[in-house]
Amino acid sequence: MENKEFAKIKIQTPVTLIIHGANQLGFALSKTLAEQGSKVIIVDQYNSISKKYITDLKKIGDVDFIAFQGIEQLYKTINRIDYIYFMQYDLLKENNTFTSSDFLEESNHLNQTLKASNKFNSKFSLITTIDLNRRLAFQANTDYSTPSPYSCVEMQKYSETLVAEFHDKAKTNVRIIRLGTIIGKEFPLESNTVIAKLINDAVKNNTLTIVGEGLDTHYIINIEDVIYGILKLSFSDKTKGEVISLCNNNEYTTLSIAYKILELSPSNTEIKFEPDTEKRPILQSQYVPAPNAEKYDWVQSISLEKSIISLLEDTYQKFNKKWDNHPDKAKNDLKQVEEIRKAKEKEEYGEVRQVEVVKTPLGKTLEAIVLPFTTVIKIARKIKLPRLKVAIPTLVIIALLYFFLLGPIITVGVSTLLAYNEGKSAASDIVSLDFTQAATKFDNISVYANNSISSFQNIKWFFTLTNQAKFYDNASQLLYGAKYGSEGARDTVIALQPLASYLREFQPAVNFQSDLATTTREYRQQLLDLQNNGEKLIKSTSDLTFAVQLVSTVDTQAFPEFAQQSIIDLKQKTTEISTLIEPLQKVVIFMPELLGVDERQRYLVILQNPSELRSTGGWISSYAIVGIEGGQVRELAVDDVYNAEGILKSQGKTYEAPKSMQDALKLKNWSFSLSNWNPNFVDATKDMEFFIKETGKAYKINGVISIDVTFIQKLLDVWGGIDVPGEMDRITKDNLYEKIFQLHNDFVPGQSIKADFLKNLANEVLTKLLSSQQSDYTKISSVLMESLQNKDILVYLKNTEANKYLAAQSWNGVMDTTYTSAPVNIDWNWGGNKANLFLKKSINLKMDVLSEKQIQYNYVAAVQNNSTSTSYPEGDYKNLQRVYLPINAEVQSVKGFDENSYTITTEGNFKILTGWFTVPIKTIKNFEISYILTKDDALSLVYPIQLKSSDVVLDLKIFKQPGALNEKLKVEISFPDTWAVTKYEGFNKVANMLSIQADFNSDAKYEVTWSIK
Amino acid sequence: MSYMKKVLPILIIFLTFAVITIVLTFVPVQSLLKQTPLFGQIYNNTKLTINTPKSKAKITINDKDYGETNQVISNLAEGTYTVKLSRIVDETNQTDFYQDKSFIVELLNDKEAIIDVEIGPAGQASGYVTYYSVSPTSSGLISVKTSPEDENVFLDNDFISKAPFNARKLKASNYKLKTTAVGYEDIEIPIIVKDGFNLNVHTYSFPIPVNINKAE
Repeated sequence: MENKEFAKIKIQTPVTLIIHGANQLGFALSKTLAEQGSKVIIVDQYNSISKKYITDLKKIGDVDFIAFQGIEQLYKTINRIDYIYFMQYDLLKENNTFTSSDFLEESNHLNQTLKASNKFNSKFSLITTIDLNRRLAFQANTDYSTPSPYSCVEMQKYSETLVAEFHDKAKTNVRIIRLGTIIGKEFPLESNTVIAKLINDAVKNNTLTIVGEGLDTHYIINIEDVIYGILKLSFSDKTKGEVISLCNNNEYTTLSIAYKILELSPSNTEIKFEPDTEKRPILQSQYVPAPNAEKYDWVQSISLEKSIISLLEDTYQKFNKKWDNHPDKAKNDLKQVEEIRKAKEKEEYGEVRQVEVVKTPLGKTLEAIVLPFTTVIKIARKIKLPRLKVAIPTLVIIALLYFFLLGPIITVGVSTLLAYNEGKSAASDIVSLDFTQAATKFDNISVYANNSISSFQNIKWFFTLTNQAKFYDNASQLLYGAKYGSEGARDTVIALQPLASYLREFQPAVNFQSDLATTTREYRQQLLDLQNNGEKLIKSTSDLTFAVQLVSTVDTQAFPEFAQQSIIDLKQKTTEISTLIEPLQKVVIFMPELLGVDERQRYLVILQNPSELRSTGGWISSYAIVGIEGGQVRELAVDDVYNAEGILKSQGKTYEAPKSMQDALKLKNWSFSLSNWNPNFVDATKDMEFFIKETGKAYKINGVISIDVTFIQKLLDVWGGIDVPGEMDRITKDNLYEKIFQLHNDFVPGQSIKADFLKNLANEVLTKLLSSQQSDYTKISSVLMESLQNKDILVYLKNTEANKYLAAQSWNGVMDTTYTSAPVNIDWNWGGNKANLFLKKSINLKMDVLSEKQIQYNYVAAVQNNSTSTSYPEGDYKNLQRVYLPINAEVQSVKGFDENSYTITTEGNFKILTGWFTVPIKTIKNFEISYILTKDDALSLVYPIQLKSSDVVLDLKIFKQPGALNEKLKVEISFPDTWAVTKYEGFNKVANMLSIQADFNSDAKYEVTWSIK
Repeated sequence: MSYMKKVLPILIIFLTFAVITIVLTFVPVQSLLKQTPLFGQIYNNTKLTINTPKSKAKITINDKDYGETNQVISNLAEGTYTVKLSRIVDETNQTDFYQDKSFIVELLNDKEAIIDVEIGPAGQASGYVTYYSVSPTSSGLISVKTSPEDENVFLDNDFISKAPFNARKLKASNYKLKTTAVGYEDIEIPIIVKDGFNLNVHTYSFPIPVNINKAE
């Protein structure tokens, strides 16, 4: 290289000078440095062997080669040398003695180099040997031999002394690194060394020969560890002025090395000891080497075993011999043996058996506790101080980011996912009445929700910074909704656990066919527990309602578009859940009492037939008494109404009909089958109870339940029919009426044919209901709810709370003054046929709101009788019609009563128009009534219009007669031009007219609001 | 390999945080700490006032005996508690004349829950229960329940609504809450509505005794 080129070396490129570098050790060092991007300059005397290294190094990187003759010039021209390695190791090993000129030349080179090091402030490393230092130490203490003045020992001694002087006097940055015997792959040992002889013996002979006792020691190091060690020690500032031994930290005796060879090469069978004819002293124990390189954080990476294997491999190769017992081959053999063993096991046991390391629970726990710490310690050990300065702030930043951004996002995400899955699972637990599991799952959801809330609060800053506060508020509201919802749901299912247990385990003790009890089991404890959980249920319902309120008021628009539909679904679901839970909470409060927790409760069940319409639903054809105590059915009896009447007749009992009935129907005597004359079911039940008591079937009734044939038809529709004992055909929705008509025709009082059929039918229906599959629950409960809503089932219970609840739902058939906002039409089929099955009725109610204090009504009912003959069950519809109006209604016109004949009476707050309204077969007949209703504060009537500040609110409730079939209702409301209608849900609006048309299956309720400002 | 060496520490750190997060998600550390005596004293700063003005009642909280009324119980951990009051009667009186009455309240740190009721015969009670629950809204909320239901609720003499109602927004302030129903005694109590909390109020009204002579 031209001198001027040294000046061109970039400032960031380290410059390394290696004196005596044209050998294998120098080559290895140069190669590593060049690969790391260093500029390497090798100074040596070159020969044919070194030529090979020069060629290889030139391919690797920026390496220059200078002969010793040019060293002086180099030091003059070069601008910078960062590291200098004075590699005497090979020189000292190869030359046992030096000529005086060689000695002087070498010492001169060293002197020049040290001066250069001083000049360039380079880090200088002198590489010598431990062996020669040990020999020097031995020579100083014994008279074993006289050293030659120019021996390798003296050369090392001189060099080390000179280097030490430069450190002491010139403060040159120097260190002396003494190497152990280098062994390793492709690093041949000198043939006369003890280790080389043992290796040769191992390959060539079966016997390893040791001269003497084999207790002389060796300091050994693998070539890979040497390079790493030299570089590490040279770079470190701690090694300045130090003498360091670079070798394995253990010293090995010849004997231990021999045993290691035997172990690795089993073909060698013995160690042979030969007497030491030269009587050489054992070089051990007295010698203390310089501190090991491990003190300066160097770590030995290649084991003695691996080094010896390399040597053996090389030697086998050198002698062209095959190493049969190579450890790697042995490993492969073992692997093959293991595979054969597994294959055999597979043959024997059908599958491979896994060998598992079993740990005790304590071991597992300890390992789990210790593991994080050991991992951290391991990482900490690997991290160096300069890196730590960067690592600590980085870690702090990562930690902050994690806890205030990533962690919360992960927690919210994971919790939401887990909560969703738990929610789904809990829902199926509820369906299967496993409330314990459901409670646990809701509790988990509550934990997830609470964690999400805390985590979400940690990232509030992010939403504030990104101007997404609205999203944060709404999402937060949603999370709180989840929290209160899950807590409410958990407490609800805990409170309802006794009910679930009751429903799961309930088995009736008696049935309609037999009075004999099949079980003595009661469910009193479940009912008591349910009663005691009332307060818990109130709290849980309150939580749920709060949750629904939170979720329902969430602004869907605040969420990203892709999530909006899910939020809408969630709102809908929570509202649905709320509508289910709230009534349940109310029902549970009185349910234990209704099921006889304290004393037996008796209920009268009446079956009404709407095909022959009567005031509360239809002709009373049968009745049943059900007695419940401790949650268990203790009495169950069904009978025909004619039989009950027969009992009374046989006892000579007669009863005078109510006056209104006498006047209207022109009859004097009253009977059980006519006990539903009063259209208010609550009042009618008193009359029904009276007759039952008179028959002696029950002395006390706690409630009356009316079911009509339509309800049974709906159930049969769900089930696709039912088999009734004694009946040839399956009873279905379509043939039920046919069967009833047939029984009616055949019935003779005193016979039990009809009662038997009904008993059997009721029994089958009840059995089917109680043994319903979970998949049918939804359909059955839907039929039940629809029937209650449509008044196919009416329930009046004497329990105040229960009746209050039923009234609020319009399930108890009460007809009170809240129904004075529209005419109430009550039919009474007195034709002795089932003409109602063939009728169609359209009602048109026109309300002209004249002012907030006055309404003009026009009510038209068009009835079409589709009967084609007068033969039973068809026929003329001979109907006694009663129209109930508010007592202060000013009737203007009435049209449609037969011969326009009618009476007007008053009862309570009602004005009743009674007359015959007959619709012959195949005809349509209209009934029309007009009246004006004026607000009268003196009357305790519910006037339909209320004034609320500047708003006028019409609360319209239209009573639907229980049992009435095929009715349609049209309502038209006109109002003053000056009013602006603001609320008219469901209505069509044209100018100042609102109209709505619908099937009239249940009570119709409408609310209209006007602004009159 | 060198790429893996660089990525591995980052991966380990990330996984460590992830594990800590997941552990914190599943292990209720805070509630566990609250159970310990030392941390419990630091964490738990709740207050539950239980009064029965005209009589004495035995207090049981979550099936644990807490002596007799009137009492202020502090340092219970945050959470939901079932408080059972059993009216103490003279030995000469019939013991089953008064039934035990249970109330469920939620306790929050730095907030007071109050049970101020008189236990009457046949499961009746007169008085009120108030407690706070955390709300996500920044404004104050109030939820009112009455026994019997459908009582009229007034705030500072202004009619608000029929009970029950839930989570109605209200400016944080002190108010006078009154519940009335035909045939029942009025209940009037001072309340404090606080931002970020839902004040739950449950009032219990005795039926007004019928004066038979007057009725005739």
